[in-house]
Amino acid sequence: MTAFEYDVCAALGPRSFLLNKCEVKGASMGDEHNAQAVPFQTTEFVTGLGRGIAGALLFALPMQMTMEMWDLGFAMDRFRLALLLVITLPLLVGIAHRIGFEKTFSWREDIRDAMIAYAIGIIASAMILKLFKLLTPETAEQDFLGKIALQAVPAAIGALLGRSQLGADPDDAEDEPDSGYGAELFMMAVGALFLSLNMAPTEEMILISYKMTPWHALATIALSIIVMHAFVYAVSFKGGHELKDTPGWHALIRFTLPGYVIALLVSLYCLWSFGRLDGSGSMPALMSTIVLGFPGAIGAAAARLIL
Amino acid sequence: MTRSRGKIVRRHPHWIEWTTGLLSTALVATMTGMILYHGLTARDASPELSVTVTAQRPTAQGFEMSFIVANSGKKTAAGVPVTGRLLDGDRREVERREVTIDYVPAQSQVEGALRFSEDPGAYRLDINASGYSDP
Repeated sequence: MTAFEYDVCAALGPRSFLLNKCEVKGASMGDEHNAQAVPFQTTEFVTGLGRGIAGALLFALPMQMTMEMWDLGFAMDRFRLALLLVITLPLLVGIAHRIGFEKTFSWREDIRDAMIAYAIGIIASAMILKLFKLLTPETAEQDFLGKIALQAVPAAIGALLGRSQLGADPDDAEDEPDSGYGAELFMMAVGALFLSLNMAPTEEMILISYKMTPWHALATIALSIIVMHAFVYAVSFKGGHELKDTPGWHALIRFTLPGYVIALLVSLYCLWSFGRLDGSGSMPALMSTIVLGFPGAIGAAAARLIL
Repeated sequence: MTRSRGKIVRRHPHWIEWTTGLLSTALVATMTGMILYHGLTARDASPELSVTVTAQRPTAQGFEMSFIVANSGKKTAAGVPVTGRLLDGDRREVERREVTIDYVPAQSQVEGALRFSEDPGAYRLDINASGYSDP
């Protein structure tokens, strides 16, 4: 074990994203820590890192292999790209807080986990883009930065989710804290963002909205809401929500409709970020938002079940 | 460890849940109403395309002319070729340039540019959207 690993272990502390049971007492190297030597669990560190990378790959590969995403690396408005990168930060911290830890209320640890996930996202994206020969020494600096930065966002989210979904922590599912209303809406936003980010860059989103008539759009709204509601309350997946004696329409108004509005807002934000709405009138913009809001709604509903 | 498998929706929640819920309902209803209205008014719609020249500037290899294609109709036009011609006098064509705009959405506008090697200021310019297809 190196001094670096010791530092990482010390920085992460117990119950962190990378080291679930990192009991930092000292290092086994011949340095000043040797006195309290307890062997550092390098395997756990590597496992945590591996989960993060696996998550990043699982969730970000579809975007890394999408042509429009490569183009956006240089075509995307720099201000909007910067805004996306900044918005990602609190989002990652929120996810880390919600799934990275249990009841401990330590934002410091959450921020640490979020930053590690962001780093994994950046490194994984750079490696994958390099592997596909999308980054060459001839690539312009702005293009180079833009491509990696843009791909790092879904990869970082994936890295955090990888910890929760790929982890074999047995008490993870059982000990889930009862989530508040705000946390529920936040997780819906994460789920919606995830699917929206996947699809917003593609031309198909606006093409579908151009092909649709207003009646198709209305049907899409109805279907989005029905699917969202059914996913969580009717089909009774693992993690589904029970109504008991609460009438169904209560849940519809309190959870499903706000969730759908969140999915639409996230969809609008993604389309705007990627410049899909530039110069567009309000009706075509609304139609594309509804089209992208459909996968967003499914993502939001799924997030309530999975996360 | 027999635990209820999911979360239970409370019967009497905090007022903020109802406020958020009702606001969302109003928003979705408004959106639906707007689309419904659009659907009723935009029957048999077709694209109405127009091209306006916005700027003209010399470049290293000639002249660049920026334009805006606007679609004031209620239907999206796809694959719109914008043709610019420089005419000497009435008929003789000096130069012809064309660019295809992928989509001009309904009630929206798209920017583009044509590049001429001759100075468009010295000739009569004819620029228009020469066609479209359904998306």
